[in-house]
Amino acid sequence: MRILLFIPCLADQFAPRAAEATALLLEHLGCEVIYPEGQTCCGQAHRNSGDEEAARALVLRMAEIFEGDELIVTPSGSCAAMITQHALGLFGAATPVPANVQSLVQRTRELVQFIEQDLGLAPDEIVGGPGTAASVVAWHPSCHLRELNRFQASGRFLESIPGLAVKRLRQEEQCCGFGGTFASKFGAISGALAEDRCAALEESCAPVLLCNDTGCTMNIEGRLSRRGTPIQIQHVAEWFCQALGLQSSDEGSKDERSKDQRSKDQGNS
Amino acid sequence: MNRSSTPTSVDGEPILFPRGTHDIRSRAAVFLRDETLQGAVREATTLKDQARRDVLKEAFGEDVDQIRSIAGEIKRHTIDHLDYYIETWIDRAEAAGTRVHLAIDHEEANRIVVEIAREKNAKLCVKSKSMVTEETRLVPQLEAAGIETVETDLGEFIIQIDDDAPSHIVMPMIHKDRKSVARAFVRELGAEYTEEPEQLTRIAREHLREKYRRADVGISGGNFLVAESGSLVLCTNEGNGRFCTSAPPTHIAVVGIEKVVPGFKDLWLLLHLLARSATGQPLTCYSQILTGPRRQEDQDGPTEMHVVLVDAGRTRILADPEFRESLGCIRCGACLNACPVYRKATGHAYGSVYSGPIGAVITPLLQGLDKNPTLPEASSLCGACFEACPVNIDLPRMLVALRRKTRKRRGTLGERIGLWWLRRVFSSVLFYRVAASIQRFALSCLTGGSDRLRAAPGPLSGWTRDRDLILPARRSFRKRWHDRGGASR
Repeated sequence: MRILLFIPCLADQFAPRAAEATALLLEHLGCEVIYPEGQTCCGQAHRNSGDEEAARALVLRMAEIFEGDELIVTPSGSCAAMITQHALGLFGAATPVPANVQSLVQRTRELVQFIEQDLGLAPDEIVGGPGTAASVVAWHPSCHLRELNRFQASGRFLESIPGLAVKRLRQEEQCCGFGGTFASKFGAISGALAEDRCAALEESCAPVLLCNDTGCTMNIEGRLSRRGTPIQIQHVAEWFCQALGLQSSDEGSKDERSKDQRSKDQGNS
Repeated sequence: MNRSSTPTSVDGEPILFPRGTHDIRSRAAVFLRDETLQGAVREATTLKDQARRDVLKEAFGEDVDQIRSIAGEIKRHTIDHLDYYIETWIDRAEAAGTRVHLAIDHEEANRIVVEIAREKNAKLCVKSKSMVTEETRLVPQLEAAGIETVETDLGEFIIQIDDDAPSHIVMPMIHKDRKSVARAFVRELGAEYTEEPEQLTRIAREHLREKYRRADVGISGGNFLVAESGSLVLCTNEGNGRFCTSAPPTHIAVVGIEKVVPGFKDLWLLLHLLARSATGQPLTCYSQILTGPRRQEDQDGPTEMHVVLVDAGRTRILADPEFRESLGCIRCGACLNACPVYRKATGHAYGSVYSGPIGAVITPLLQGLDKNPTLPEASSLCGACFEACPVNIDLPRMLVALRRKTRKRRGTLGERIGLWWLRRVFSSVLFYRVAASIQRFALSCLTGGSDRLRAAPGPLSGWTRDRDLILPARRSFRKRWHDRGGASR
């Protein structure tokens, strides 16, 4: 199956390894992965800030760049939700929905959703066990999975991976406090929520947190760094790639080195 | 025991009606540091939120969302035809002997109640819990007219004697601890000091029993108005509502016009959802259906029943299709319990009778967005409120719509520039790549080579207040994909 890869701006810049793992995993599962180079942003930041006009312009841009019949797969729950749940709401009587936007909305999928619903694969058909990946992980369901009706489903998917123990976090339904500009504008409240998530994570004793939204990852990782808690965060795709031996541990850039160092520290402690 | 003054919050402004422009963040900053408050609110909200999920699942299994959407349709239909249902309700209520009054605003609602009480030469009113009378600030008006008015809901009673204000729609004293209650009872009621909930309840009950006996007027709110029969429906747990509406010779109910439902089959479903969503009970302990005053054959009940229907901005909301569905709210408080921001900021930070997500939507609509520009921003748009709402109100959508209005009217220059810049950046790949390089360079200048920023300037300082900013990777995905020779188009 040929698919179009949608890598949101935050993932492109802040989590390229997760984005790459998404592509590698999809290829491993037999997909022909095409990356439309013109892509930038889905307009979520503008939509959430109430800048409907700019958000609409960016959605129209997305629709042009992702024109075609192929399904569009993204590692990010929140960007998938932006397209599938909110894009149509940006159009109205004065601005009817163009056909390519309709098509964009219908073809967009979050990664785990795509694997489960479109490829029809169960976890044990993908991996036999964790391999060199962590065998105990905690799971952070991002709030946008709620909008995709995947909040429980994605957790259940992970729980059925052979040999993997998934720790459910205390108050897992409570937002980690990211919320885009909310995190900066309401820094104190957002920070307190991030702390709740990190405390629950620490309680879980899991060495790795799985998460499928770069926003949540930046937030939780930033808080873990501030409080000095050595817990590694991986995208679901990164975990699969490690379990399958698909992604090299890395090519030596500084940020990846420190990440690997941290996971090693955790392994030794 | 009269409220000596308007209770004030940490910023010196009235708790529920701050003057001028209110910013939720200033109070929240103080409340976040109050560990007792944080603990109390966290415990109560998470327990109720879990209880709600459990009992809804027990009752409706996998159909919960379908039930919520049916309930939402019922309310939406009624709101869409509010003129018809309100008129029907008035006709039937009057036929049953209820005297119906219409109040266009808070002042008129209060004036009507005070006039009825004066007409009855009332010295003492007993009152059950009602959000709309908090909104109109009825009690101070009655007291100013020389009519002693006693809140009889235990939480509201404690709030009243402690010169405080409710901070949650259903659990008004969620922010108070036992010690402050004990102290208030000693000070105001001359009771012995005790922190035992049962003892405290007994003290309040003994104090209130005497008030019911002597009261000239009983005041209540209303959870529903049933158009089919002209009935008023009250849902309570303590039995105080029944005393208030049956012991005194006159009963006055103050009710928002949006409370009407078509018939009893609609009421049946909403009652099932209200208590489950509010407190995790299958049904409130008392569900009273009151249709007119005492009839000749009745043994007891008030000889006069008045209902004051309050508009106070509701028809203005009704006129706006974008926000109309907010009138469907049945005031269960489930969205407050589910909301991460409510749990941290806590009720009084909102500066409104209505706090949490529903408050963040309807407070600007009722009182003006100009006075409450930060309320629609006080959400991570996590969607927990929408999921919790028993009548399926899309609160996140309305929060975003209000942000659009704020932005048009008074978005700060920084925000406007930021969004304009982002729009430019995202309009072409070239701009995007250049901007990303500039961003990476600027951030690495700030960190002096480290891969994380511990203290950011300007608008990012909110982010680095409690967490680090991990810098963007040196090689973006785009670059990696290109280097790897991945297929693109």
